[in-house]
Amino acid sequence: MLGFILADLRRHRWGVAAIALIVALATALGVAVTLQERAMRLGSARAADAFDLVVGAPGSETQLVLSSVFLQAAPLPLMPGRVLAGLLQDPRVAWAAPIGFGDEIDGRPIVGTSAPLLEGLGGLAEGRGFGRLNEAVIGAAVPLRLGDRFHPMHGHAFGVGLVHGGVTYGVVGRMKPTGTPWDRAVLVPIEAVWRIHHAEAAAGPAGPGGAQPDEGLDAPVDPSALLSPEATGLPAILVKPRTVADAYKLRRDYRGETTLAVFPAEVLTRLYGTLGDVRLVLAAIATGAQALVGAAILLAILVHVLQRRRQIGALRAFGAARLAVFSIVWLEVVLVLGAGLLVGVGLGWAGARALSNQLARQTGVPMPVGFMPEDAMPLALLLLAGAVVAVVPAVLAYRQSPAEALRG
Amino acid sequence: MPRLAIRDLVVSYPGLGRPALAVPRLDLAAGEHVLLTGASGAGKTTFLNIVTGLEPVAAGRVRWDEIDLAALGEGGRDRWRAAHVGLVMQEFHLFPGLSALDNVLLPARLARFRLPAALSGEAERLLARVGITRAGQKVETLSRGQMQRVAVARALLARPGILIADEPTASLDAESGAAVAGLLAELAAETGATLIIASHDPLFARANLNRRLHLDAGRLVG
Repeated sequence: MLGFILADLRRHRWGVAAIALIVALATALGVAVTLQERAMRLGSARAADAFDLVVGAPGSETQLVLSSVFLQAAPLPLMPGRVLAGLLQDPRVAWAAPIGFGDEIDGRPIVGTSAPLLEGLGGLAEGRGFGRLNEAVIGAAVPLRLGDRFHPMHGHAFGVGLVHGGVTYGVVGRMKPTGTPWDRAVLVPIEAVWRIHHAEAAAGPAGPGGAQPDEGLDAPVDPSALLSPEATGLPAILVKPRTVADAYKLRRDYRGETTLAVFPAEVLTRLYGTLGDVRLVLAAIATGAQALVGAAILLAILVHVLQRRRQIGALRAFGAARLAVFSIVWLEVVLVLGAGLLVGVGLGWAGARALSNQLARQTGVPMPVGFMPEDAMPLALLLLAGAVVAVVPAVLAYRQSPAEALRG
Repeated sequence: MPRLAIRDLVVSYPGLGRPALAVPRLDLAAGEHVLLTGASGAGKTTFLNIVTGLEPVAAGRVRWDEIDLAALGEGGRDRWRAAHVGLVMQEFHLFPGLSALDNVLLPARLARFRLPAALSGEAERLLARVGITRAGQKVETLSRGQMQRVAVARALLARPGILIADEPTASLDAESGAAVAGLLAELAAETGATLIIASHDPLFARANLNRRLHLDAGRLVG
């Protein structure tokens, strides 16, 4: 029987391939929505792992998390410099590090920070931490080498790119891969960032001609500068509390008029809620598409079966069992649908992979695309629905009178 | 070999004034070769459908030996036909994409789970007997005359006691038609099968058939 079915499918291979392809695309749509949403959720959750508590100026919690954890450039409001001093001296804080944005190099953000953050993000793979203000540590994915020198450019958040002609950083170390957008970042001492912008503010919009900030940067990093109550304002501070209890106390204490403390995980959970809603909408669209495809295919198969009345009826006249006729039609339909479904799962996976890779390149957040055991359920249901739908043309063939079929 | 006994058979279709077929009494001896003639619409096809069990018997009795087709359901008639009737039609109803051999074996394959090993050899023997030398050739590459030979081999695979041919030569040229007509008579004689041929072809009128039945407006004449 299988030989006959295969010969029959081969004979109609273009029609069969078209139907299988439509099934595959409809399936791929649903699979890709599920996989992509999961990849974004897992990827961003992993990226936020190292960030226990972020403190910033009052404003959007979401923007604070996006800017500090995911390094999405946006002008954040600044909080007074004494906040960092307070945190560094707080006994509930294991370590705290400033996060200051501004410049970039070839589209990669230059982040001003302090030594504890280097360790907090996983430590160095090679070289050493910055000891002088004109030294930089690069993320794992930055295409520079130890010993390279570069000029920073103004970030897009401040307008068109403008080279800080006088400033030169030297690369002294490289971070271990973290699987976060920080792999694309170049880390420099926060004081260096402050000094450059002070110098430019002093020189005015005419450019960096007046002051010579490079000379000012050729100095050792001074940790005590961070403790100064007159320190420059900061957009964000990454805080590692000593205990969970400390984390909650710090979050409470630093939610006030001048500061806003957030757990990035908490903000992300809220985002995932939104993401989940979007996924539901997309899943509904995908389901609708699948239902339409199912109906269209049923119609195509019905037409096909009706055209083949004679053939199928003739089989019975020559001695084929009635059940065999039913089975042939049913199996043909199920085989085509099943093949389409399998290909669709592959296509959906490949599509989600391609999209995730694209997003990962843009954001620096690796997005793991993978199946979970529960994914099998909707696919099994889909196949079951196909098997049930296939009964309709099979019954039509089963009820076909062989005498009529012979006459055509 | 089976004898046919028909009593009080009436086949009516809704919307028609008179019955499409009315056969009060007909007996065919086992192994008889019968030519069935009649104009289009005279009831030849209805007659063949009834005696092969393709259509249910609504009124009357149609017995092949001890089997009354009127008493069988649709599945029962399918099984009885598979075991006892070989059919050759005007159109060959062969399946493109399959070889001549696979076409001969197809109904048997679709009638039971596992093909008896001997059947494949029997199919090759039959194909050789009807003059098809390359059993593995795809059926759509054969000439029409060869296709009908394959159909004859298929009809004989189950060693049926009844061989029915409906206009077997109508879509063939004269030479192929004569060859197929000859094969049908020879093979029916070899196996002892009862042969019923419905045909307009004067070829059969000249042939040496034991018996002629003529249908006129659903009634047997002569």
